[in-house]
Amino acid sequence: MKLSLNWIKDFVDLPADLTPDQIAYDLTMTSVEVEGYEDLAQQFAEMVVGRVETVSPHPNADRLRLCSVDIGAKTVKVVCGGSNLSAGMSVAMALPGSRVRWHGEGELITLTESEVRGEKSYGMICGADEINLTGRYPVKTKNEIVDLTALEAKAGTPLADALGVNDVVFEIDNKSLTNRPDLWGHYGIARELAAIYCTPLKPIEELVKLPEGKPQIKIDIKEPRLCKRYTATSIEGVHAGSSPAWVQQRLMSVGQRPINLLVDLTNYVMFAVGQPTHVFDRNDISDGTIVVRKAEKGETLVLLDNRTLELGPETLLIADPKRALALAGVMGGKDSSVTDRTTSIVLESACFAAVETRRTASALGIRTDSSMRFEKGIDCARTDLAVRLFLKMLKEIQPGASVTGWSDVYPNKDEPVTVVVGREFIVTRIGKDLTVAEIKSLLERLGYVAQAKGEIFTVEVPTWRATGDVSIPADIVEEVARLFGYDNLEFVAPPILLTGAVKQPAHEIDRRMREFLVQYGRMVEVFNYPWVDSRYQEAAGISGQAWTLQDPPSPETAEVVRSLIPNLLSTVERNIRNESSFGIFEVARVFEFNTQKSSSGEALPNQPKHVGAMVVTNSPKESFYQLKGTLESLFRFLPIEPLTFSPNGNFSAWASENARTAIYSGATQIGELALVADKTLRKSGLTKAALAAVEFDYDQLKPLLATTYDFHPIPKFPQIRFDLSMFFEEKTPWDDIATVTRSADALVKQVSFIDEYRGEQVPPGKRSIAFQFILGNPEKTLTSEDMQAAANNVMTSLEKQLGAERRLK
Amino acid sequence: MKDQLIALGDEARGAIARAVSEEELQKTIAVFLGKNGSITQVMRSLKDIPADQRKAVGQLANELKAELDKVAATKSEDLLNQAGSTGPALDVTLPGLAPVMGALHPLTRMRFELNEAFHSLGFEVYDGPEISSELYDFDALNFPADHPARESMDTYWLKGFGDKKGSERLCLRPHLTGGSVRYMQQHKPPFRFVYPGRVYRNESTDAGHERAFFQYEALIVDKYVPFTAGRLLVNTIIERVFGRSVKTRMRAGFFPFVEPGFEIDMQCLVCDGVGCSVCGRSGWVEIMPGGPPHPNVLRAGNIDPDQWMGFYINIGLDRLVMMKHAIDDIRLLHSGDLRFLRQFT
Repeated sequence: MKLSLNWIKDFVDLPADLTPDQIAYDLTMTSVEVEGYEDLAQQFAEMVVGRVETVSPHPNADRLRLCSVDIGAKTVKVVCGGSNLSAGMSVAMALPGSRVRWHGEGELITLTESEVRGEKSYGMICGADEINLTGRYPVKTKNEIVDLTALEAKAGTPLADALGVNDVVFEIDNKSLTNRPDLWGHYGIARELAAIYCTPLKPIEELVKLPEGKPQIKIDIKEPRLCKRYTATSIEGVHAGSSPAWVQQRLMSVGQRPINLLVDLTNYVMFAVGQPTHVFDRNDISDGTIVVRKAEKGETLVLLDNRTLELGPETLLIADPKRALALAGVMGGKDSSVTDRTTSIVLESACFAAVETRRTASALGIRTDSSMRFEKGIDCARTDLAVRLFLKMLKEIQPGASVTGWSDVYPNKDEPVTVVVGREFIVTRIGKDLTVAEIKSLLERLGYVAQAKGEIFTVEVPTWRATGDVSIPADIVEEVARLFGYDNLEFVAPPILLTGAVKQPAHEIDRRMREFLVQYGRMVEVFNYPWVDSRYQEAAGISGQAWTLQDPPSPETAEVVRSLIPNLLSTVERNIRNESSFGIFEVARVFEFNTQKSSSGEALPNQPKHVGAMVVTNSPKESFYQLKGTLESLFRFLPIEPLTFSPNGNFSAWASENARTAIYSGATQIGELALVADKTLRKSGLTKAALAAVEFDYDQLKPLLATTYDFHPIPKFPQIRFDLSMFFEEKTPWDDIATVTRSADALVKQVSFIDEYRGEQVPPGKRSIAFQFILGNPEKTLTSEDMQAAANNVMTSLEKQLGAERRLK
Repeated sequence: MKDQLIALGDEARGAIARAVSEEELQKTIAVFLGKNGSITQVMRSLKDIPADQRKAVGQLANELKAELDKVAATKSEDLLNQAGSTGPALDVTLPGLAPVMGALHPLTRMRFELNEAFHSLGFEVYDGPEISSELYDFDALNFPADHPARESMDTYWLKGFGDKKGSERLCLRPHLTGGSVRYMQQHKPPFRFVYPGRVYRNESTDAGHERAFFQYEALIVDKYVPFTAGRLLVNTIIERVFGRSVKTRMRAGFFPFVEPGFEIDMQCLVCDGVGCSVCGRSGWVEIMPGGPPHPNVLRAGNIDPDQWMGFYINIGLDRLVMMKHAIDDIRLLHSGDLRFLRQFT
């Protein structure tokens, strides 16, 4: 919403030294958010009204002319191509140093004294599009300049003064006004500023008396809940015409295009007091009767903007006995609107219900300045203010107009709102020890009537706040505190109840996990959306039912994730162009297609937190083992109860049969680690990528309170490392080799894998596995006979139990 | 024999002094003091000389040996000090062998930093469901029945719940505050907790708007928590995040679930409050709403608003992270683009 400072000053005397910056700051801190302000005169700096004295041809250009122009202090020579240029005309002279938009195009440029085709030109005579005046002076023909003769301003008058735009316009964030129906006009803001600066408001209530004529219009309110009050003022002897310049200027300063006097006055009143009104042509109201009713099925209405509406049965209408005239609180109808020939009008000022107005406006897709105000909840007292101001304006502009009738139907009176609240309640919540008198004074500045009995206040809420959000003691606390100034409050530490240190292992291991994956796993953490592109969902083979969004970001991303894998595939696909070898991980919730009913009646799906990770390297083997190794270390580091890997388990479609292993916590499978299957890769646009992936359920990890490592005594006698390499059947897993080795001889203390090899010297169907075991005896130093015997036991066991073959040296 | 020892001593001292390398020094020592060294041989022949001289000569020999050991050790030290390094020099400007690291998402990092700060103030961490219901996300939060945010234009409702209401109408949570009501229902006051999490809004995206973003909520409920305490809490947290004192301000704002509502701004760190394009020339950046929970919200959490007070803040983490790292497009945070994310190693 735009606010003109001049307009505000109609209603309140502000301190003389108050700057726009200060006003913006104080309003923002106390009432509503000011997004910024514009000094309208600024754009006309170094521009004056010029009077063209002579016009003569330009010696070197057919389309240009040489003019001498009186700019007050002197007469200057200017080159001009204006098609409507004539001697005696008043023009907008932009002098050197001013900023204009050449021919209405491009950025603003700063004028300098220059030569145009060999002739000196002191500034330029402007077209409307060059100085942002097309709203007021529409361009009719090409190369036309603005004709200011009608302003009757003296040559040399600063242009801003001549145009009456010496004003500052504030821009208010409408969202910050949601709960303040009283602030949707200049009068309300003036009232707020009067409270802030302790300066008197000039009440509109005293501007002009309410009309006292007999009712001329019969009003029939069928829906008193939706229309709490309806007034109709009959006025004769008006003529539409255009508004005086100052009215037009006011409207334009807040972004409203002038239309004709009567429409402009309704807009003026709305921007002044926040109350929308509407003017009907009296002759268009059949039987002199206005009916406020809901639309009938199939009823239509042609709006002011020529749209024809099919009305639903919930739409509130202003009608006469024959037909619909207007959409209540939203927009007028074309057929009953004022025209050039209108002389007799009916002014509607009414109070429509907030919720229904908003519903109607949003259902029909018509959000107007009027509906925006009604939907905040306007009080019925404001109906009067609007009529008073309208009549005052009309009488000034058209003294011949006369009020001939006044109808006021008020079936649903606003109840006064009173709040009882104690001083104690207020000061403990604010944290500032204010006295009864201080509180009373703060409230009264804001228009509250506060009666204090001892320390208990009975606060009567002013009508303009009672339809907003002031109804409970906490609201009164806010009023006191905001006017006292939040910035004036001290900083006070809240008393701390010592309850012992907070210890939350599940959150601690979350952090340890992410930091481990980053530092040791060399992975980058990513965040994906909780919805998933069906292409990747299908690539990963995630099928079956899923939750879907009613209005998804796009048709392809309607499903809510059940696995982190599909979105991670997409992330890999987007990054693999830039990096050939990397790891990523994500920690996020997935949503199972089931629900569990709680005591509150809520039935929410199970939504465990999952960890998903992917590794890309140059070879599948490297990717797989890198990821597996990272996980093995991670699980030891966290600390959590041990997890185990097993080739037996349930696997997703994306897990390649060539390399997949299930992750178990006890007997429960909590995840899977695998190479990504070829078909998934191809469908994800990742053909041939060496991609390993893991996903597991974080919520199934069982955090330990502390890291628990079993201590093994440091051997007293030296231990011997023994490297061995043997051939094994392809299908013999390392796990078996390690187990057999460990149990082959009592001296075997540790077994570790070195590498595997397939190739020339290895028989087909077999692989050579090199591994190391450590031999030791806690009682004595080993002899070479001991060692040899143990090594032989290992080899013999492997031969017998696993069919291993010794390599021929 | 005594003379012989004195002569050998002189000779040894000279030889040690002349040695130019550790290797030569060791050889010299061996010549005199080694197994078959000349002085060793003299000492070995002590047993052949008359007993009355033996003691004096023996003492002399021992003294000489001790002296030469010392001289040799000093010489060795000198040689070490004089010697330059061996082998070819290294190009010390070559990069070191740095361990490769991944990167924690800047939002996670910020979250952990805040967790630490709140942890030290005795707050615990809470986590709630992301698919939630109208009951908690709107009804419990004092949103009027006709509030526009309930409509699909703001909230991602799940399909198939269009005709349902309250606890039966499910959505991706549009904010965390509904979850805080769950916490209130499960705990007895006084308490203080933080609630970090991601929320979802049905919006069109641009450099300043995302459909998924992180909030960080904090709530204290206690016997006495005035606005002045809220101000201090806000300042403490901001200082912790930015590592220095940052000016903040609390001003009037409106949210259905707090009464009164505050908008909390911090001074723009890009321009230090002078006004720039980041802060829209105001010098201030809006970072969080806050305020005491509305009595209806406390009631929804089974807390008696006449007995307890509270203070709540809800920090927009994305905005804070963008401010901290001068990131100009919020969409980068969910882009999964490693070229962006690796910058936060």
